[in-house]
Amino acid sequence: MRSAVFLLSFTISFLPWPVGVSAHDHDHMSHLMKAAEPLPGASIYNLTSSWTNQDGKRVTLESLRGEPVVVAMGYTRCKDICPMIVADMVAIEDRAKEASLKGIRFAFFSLDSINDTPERLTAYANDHGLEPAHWTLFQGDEKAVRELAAVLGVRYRRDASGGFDHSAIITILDADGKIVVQQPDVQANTEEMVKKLTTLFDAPVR
Amino acid sequence: MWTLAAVAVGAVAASAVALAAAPGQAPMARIPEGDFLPFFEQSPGKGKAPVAAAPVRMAAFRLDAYPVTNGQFLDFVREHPEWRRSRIKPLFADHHYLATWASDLKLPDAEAANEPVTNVSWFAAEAYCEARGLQLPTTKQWEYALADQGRKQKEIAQQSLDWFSRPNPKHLSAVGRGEPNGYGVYDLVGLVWEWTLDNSSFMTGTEQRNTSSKDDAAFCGSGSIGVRDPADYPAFMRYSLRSSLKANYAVENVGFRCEGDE
Repeated sequence: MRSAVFLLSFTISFLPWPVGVSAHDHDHMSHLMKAAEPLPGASIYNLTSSWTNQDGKRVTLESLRGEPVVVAMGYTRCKDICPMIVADMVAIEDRAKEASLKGIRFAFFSLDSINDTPERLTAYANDHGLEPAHWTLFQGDEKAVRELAAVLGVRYRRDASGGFDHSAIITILDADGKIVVQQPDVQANTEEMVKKLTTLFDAPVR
Repeated sequence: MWTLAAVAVGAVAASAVALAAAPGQAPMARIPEGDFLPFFEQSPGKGKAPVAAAPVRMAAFRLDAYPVTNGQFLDFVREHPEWRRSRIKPLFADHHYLATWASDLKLPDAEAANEPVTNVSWFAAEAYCEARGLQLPTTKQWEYALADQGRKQKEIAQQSLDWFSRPNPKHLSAVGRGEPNGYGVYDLVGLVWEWTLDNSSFMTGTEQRNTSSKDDAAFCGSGSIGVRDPADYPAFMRYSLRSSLKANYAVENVGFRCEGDE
């Protein structure tokens, strides 16, 4: 499987500008070209599990490759910790916008493999005013959740009411999926996180 | 087991067929269904009153009779080069991964083949089990196997305490040297600590303050009512060790065994 992916990437990297690619595909192409380089060994995109996003599309983590990503895990029925995590992420988004940091992605991975369907994730995104252009919410099976939680250091456990006890950690990944910084607290220090994000851009504005 | 060892240490050329078959032949014990009182009460859920601990019903499963050995793990990395020491990604294991081995495909000595593999990360353990169509046992399953329907629990506790008091030996003993438990499972205590599937479930330490989980209370005096038996020191040790491990840690005295459906 891995070798097939590499083969494909290899092919893409050796193609000249592909025939039939219009100008507006440029961003997409540069993303693909970037993805053609092998992943660093510490990249969390080395996890090959597949996820379903809020649009019902099956994707791998590597689909996030190409831009810095602000990541957290939670679940939509969570009434206390998760809304605070998401609020912290939105605060980072707002500050990053003020700082003209463009192209940052925000990813929310559900711990609840059973209940957090794409429909519910969409509803959650709408309820919290998460801009679809920047935010992706993911549902994965138990194994996908277990592995991602393991690399992010998120500890979680189902409770008797069908919810979860879990740690609230916001992680910033660089464009290749390497962990740059983790904020292990709710009420994240937004400034600190935005400062880290700034370092991931060659120039503040692109 | 000696056959496995001989094969593992033997010639590379002859390995393809024999080695592919070998891991599948690892003897597994049948653990029948039954009731089990977990060491920790399940947290009741946010804003809900705690409920008294109740036994959970465990389904039957199969569990490796022995911890996975170096010899068996060598077979695995032969078949799956991405898990060799020189190729392992830092995401999946730290630099202690298979640290005791002489090289990628060479054990430190012939005895090592029958000793439990250690310095393997959770990811590597999971990948090994998966390659056999199995997975790591859940913590509940592992503890249920150890509980052994109440057989010889005092002896097990004493064995654990004796083990804790011994320094790590230079050479671990071979697997299967002691007595099996009532299910025919060897070496659950006394040889190596073992990874479980949901190792990451157990929250103690710094993350704790961010959650509503009550596990932490179990580790401070007055909170100890939340566990099955506050006097069960070995159980506290097992759970706190699990909670201290991160999934890419490759630790000197942590090994694993695999679990499968019945």
